[in-house]
Amino acid sequence: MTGRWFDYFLTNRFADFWAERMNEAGARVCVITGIGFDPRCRAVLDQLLAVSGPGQVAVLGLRFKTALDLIEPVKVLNHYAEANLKAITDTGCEQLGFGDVQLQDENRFSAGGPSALRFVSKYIEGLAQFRHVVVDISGMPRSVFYPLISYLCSRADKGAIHNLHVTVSESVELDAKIILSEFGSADYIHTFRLTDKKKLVWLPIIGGRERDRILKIHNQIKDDCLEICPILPFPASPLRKPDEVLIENSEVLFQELAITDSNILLCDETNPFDIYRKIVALHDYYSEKLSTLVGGVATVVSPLSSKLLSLGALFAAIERKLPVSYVEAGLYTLEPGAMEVFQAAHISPIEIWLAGEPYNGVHP
Amino acid sequence: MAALRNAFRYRLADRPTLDTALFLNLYCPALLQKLQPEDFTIPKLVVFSGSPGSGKSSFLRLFQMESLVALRRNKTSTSDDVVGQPLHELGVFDENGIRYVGLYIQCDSNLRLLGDIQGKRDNRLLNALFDVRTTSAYLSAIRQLAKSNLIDNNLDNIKLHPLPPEESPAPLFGRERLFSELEAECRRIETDFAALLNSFPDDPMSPNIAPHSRVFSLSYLAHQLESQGSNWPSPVLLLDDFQDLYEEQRKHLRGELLRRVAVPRWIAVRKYVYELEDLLPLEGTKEGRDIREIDLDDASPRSFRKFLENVTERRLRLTEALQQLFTIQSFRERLLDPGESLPWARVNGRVQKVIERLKELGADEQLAIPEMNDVPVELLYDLEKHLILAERKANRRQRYILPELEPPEPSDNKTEEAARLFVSRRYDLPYYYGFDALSVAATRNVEQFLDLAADYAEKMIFRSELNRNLDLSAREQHDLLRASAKKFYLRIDQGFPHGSSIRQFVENLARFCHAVTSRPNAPIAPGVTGFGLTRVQLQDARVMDAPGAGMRVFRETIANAVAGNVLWIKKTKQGQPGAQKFVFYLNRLLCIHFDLPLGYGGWQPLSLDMIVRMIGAPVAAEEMGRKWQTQPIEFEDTE
Repeated sequence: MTGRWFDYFLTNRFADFWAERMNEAGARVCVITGIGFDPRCRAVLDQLLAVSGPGQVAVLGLRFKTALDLIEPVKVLNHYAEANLKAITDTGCEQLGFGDVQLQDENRFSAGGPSALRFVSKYIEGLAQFRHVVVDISGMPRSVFYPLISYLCSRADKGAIHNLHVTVSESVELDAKIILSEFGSADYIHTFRLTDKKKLVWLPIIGGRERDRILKIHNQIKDDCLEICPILPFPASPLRKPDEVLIENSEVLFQELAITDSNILLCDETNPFDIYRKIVALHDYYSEKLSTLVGGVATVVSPLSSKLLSLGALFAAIERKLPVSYVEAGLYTLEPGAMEVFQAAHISPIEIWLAGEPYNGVHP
Repeated sequence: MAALRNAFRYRLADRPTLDTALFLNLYCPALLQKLQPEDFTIPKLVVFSGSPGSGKSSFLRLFQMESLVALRRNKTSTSDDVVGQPLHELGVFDENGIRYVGLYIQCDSNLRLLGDIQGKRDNRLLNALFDVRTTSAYLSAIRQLAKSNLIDNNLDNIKLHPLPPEESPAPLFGRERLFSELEAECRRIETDFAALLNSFPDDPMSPNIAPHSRVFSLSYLAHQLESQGSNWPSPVLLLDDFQDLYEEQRKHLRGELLRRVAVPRWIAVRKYVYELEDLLPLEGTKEGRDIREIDLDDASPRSFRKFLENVTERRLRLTEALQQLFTIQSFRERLLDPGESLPWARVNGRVQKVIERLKELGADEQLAIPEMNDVPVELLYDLEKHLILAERKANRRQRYILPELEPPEPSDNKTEEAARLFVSRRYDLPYYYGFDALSVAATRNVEQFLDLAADYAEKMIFRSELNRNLDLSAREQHDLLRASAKKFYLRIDQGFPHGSSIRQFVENLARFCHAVTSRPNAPIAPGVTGFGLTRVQLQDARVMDAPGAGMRVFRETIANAVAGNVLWIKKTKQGQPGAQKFVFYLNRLLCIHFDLPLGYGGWQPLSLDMIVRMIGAPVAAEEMGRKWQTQPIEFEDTE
C-alpha cells in the first residue's frame, strides 16, 4: 500500500520554519485566509509578517457572509469579523484580493464551497507568481476548505502553484466556546460528491456530542450503507476523550445505529497523517474484500471532529476520491465571555507542506 | 412473518432496515383514501404536501415496483386485504397484472446544484439529468418486472422508438435504440453528470451531456407505451423531496409537469417551501383542471386517532414481545390511570393551604378535611375546583349587597380539566397519561407518534423479557412523555431552519401561556397554548415586508415553525365577515415540556410587533398581554 502523503512534512515550529523559508532569495508567500469572527484567522498572517521582510507577504481574503445577518447573534459576530478584516488590512501586506463568500444562498442551502472556488480560481494566475501559497484553514468552515485545498492541490499537480502549504491554529479550548446550531440537511461537500450508486462504508469522525448530525448523515446514506466505522481521537487531550465521546454518543451509536465495538477506530488527534493513512488503508481493505461480493464500494467520510482530524480525512478523500458527507451549521454563536478567552489564548499554528519541493520526484 | 424487536422504532421509508414484506405489513393505508381512480386514468399533476414525518415517502414507496411485485405475488397475505384491495380499486392492479408503476425520483442536491453550475442558474442541465433519471427508473422497473416473470424476460433487443422529429427531442430520445443500449447510455450520462458536479472551475464538460430546454422523458415513455402496445405498466412519476430544489427550479419543473402527457405525475413536498399564507389550512383538497393539491396534514382529529390506533395495532403485532397485546384495546388497558387516593402525610400541608385560601375567599370557617389514612384524589379535585370558582367569584366586578342574591359561579368540563391540571401540579401527580394523551401528544404527525410510542413499547418489551407485568403506571407514562418533550424542545435549535429564532419565540410564548394558565381563577380553562392572528394582520405583514425589516424574520420564522410542526394552525369558525382568525398552537409536546394542558382552546391575540420582539429576545410574560385578552373559541374541527 502506498500513498501520496505517506512521507509527509509537518512541523509545530511554525516561526522557525518560515524564517528559514523567507530568507531564501526571492521568497514570496501568499496567504489565503477566511475572514470571519474567529481571531485565529489572522494569527498565521501575523506570525509570517513577523519573520518576513517588506513585500514578501500577500493575502487573499475570503470574507464569509451568512443568510442570517439580521439576527442579533450574527450581528455580533459580523462586528468581530469586521474587526479582523481591519486588523488584516492594517498590517500593510500586499492585498492580492478580498472577496465575499456566501456560506448559504438565499434558500439557506450550503454554498460556501462553490462560492470560494469561483473566487479563488480568478486569482490562480496571480498565485503562480508566489513561491509559496499558504491556505490557513483556522477560520474556515469544512465546506470551504475541503474543496479549496482539493482544487489547489490539483492546480499544484499541474504546475500552476509551486509550493502548497496548509496551516491550522487548533485549540480545543477555543473551539468549545463556539456553539454550532441550525443544522441543515446532510449533503456531500462540493467536489466530494458520490459519483455512482454504490454500496457504502461510512467513517464518521466524531469529537463530541453529535447525535443530530450523525443521524442526519446516516439518513442520507442509509439505503446503501453496509458498514459504519466511527473514528475517535486517541491519543488525545485529555486522554479520556474517546471514552467521553462514546458516552456522549452511546445512544445513537450503540442503540440507534447498532455499531459493534470492534468497528471503532482510534486516530492520533495531533497528527492528520495518522488518520489519513488509516482511512486509506481501510478504504483499500473494504474495496478489496467487498467489491467481489456487492460490486463497487465507496468509503464515505464525515468530518465531525477537530480541524486536524478533518484535514487528515481530507487528504485521504483527495487521494482516493472519497465522497464526504457533512452537515453544515447554519448559525455560529459564542458562549458568553468567549472573546476574552480568544484574546488571551496563545495561538501556535501547525505547518503542513502539501505539495511542491519536498515531494518533487518522489511521487508522480 | 418475521417479528421485530420494537416495530415502533422503524420508519416505513427505511429500505435497508425494513424489507418490502415488513413494510407492507406495517403500512396503514389511510392515505390511499385520498386518491381516486382518475388520478391514474386522467393524469393530472398531484401535489402531496405535508410536514416532516407526515408519511409522504412511505406513501410513495407503496407504488414502487418492489412493493407492487410483492403485493401481486402474495395475494393471500393479510396485507393484501387492506393494502392490495384499495390498489385494485384504484386500478393499479387488474386481472392482467400491474398496470401502473411508480418511478421514484428524489430531488437531491445533485439535481439542485445542476441549476447552479459555475455560478450560473440554468435549468437546461436539470432537464437533462431529470430525463435520464426518469428513463432509467422506468427501464429498471421493467427489468425488475421481467426478473419476477411478470412480463416477458427478453428485453435486451426490444426496440424503443424515437420521439418524432417535429418535437425536436434531446439526442437521447432522437433515435431508435435497443432497450439495453438505452440502459447503458443512461448510466454513462449519469456518471458524466457526477463528474460534472465534482468538477473544478474551468474543467470541461463531457460531450455526452446534452442540456436541453424542456423535459422530454415523460412524452418519450408515453410514446413507448403507445407504440409498443405491450403489457408493460404505465409509469407514474413520483417526485419526492421537491422542497430541496431552488424556488425557480420548482417553478420550472412544475411548469414542465403541467404539460399534458399520458403519464400521472405526483410531487411530494415539505411545507417548508411555502409562504406563510400558503400554510394556512386548505379547504380540503384544492383541485384545478390540471392540478390537484392534497394536504397530508389535514386529517380530522377523529380519523387521525383511528389511523393511530391502526398503526399501533400493526406495530404491536410485529413486535415480538408484545404480540400478546394484539389489539388497541389491550394496549390501552396496559396504560394505567393514577391511584385513586394519596396518603395523608403527602397531602396534608398542601390541602391546608387550599382550605385557608378558601376561607379567605369567604368559605365557612368550619371548613376542614378530617384526617384519614388515604385521601381520595376526587376530593382533592373537588377542593381545587371550588377554589377556582371562589377565585372567579372574588374577581367579579359586579358586587351584590345581599350575598344570597349572588349567583353561583358556573362550572363546566373545562373548569374541571383546569382543576385536574392544578391538582397535578400542587400534589405532584402524573397529568399526561393514557392512550388519548399519547395520541394528542403526536400533534397529528405519525412520525412523532411512533417516536413517543416506541419508548412506551421499549419499556414494555424490557418487562416482558424479565417476565414482569407489562403495565405502565400513570407516573411512568407521564415521565416518558416529559422526557420525549424535552428532547423535542432541545432539538428545535438544531433541527429547523431559523431554529434559534423559533426556540426563542416558543420560549416566550410558553412563558406567557404558563403565566395565564396558572392564574388562580383559571380564566381560560383549561389553559392557553397558542396565539392568534387575523387575516388582516397577515396581509399587513406582507405589505410591510421589506429587505432587512423585522417582518421578513417574522414571516420566515413562523412559516418554518408551522412547516416543521412546531406550531399547528387552527382556523376559527367564521363569524362576522373578516373576523375569522388563525390560531397558532404549540406542538402538544411543547405543552408537555412547559407543563401546559393538552387541549386546544385558549389563545392570545398578539400584535405583529410583539411577535417580532418575541422572536428576537426574551420578553416578560406581562408585556405580551397586559389585558389578558386570551379567549376560547370554536374551531372548524375539534380535538
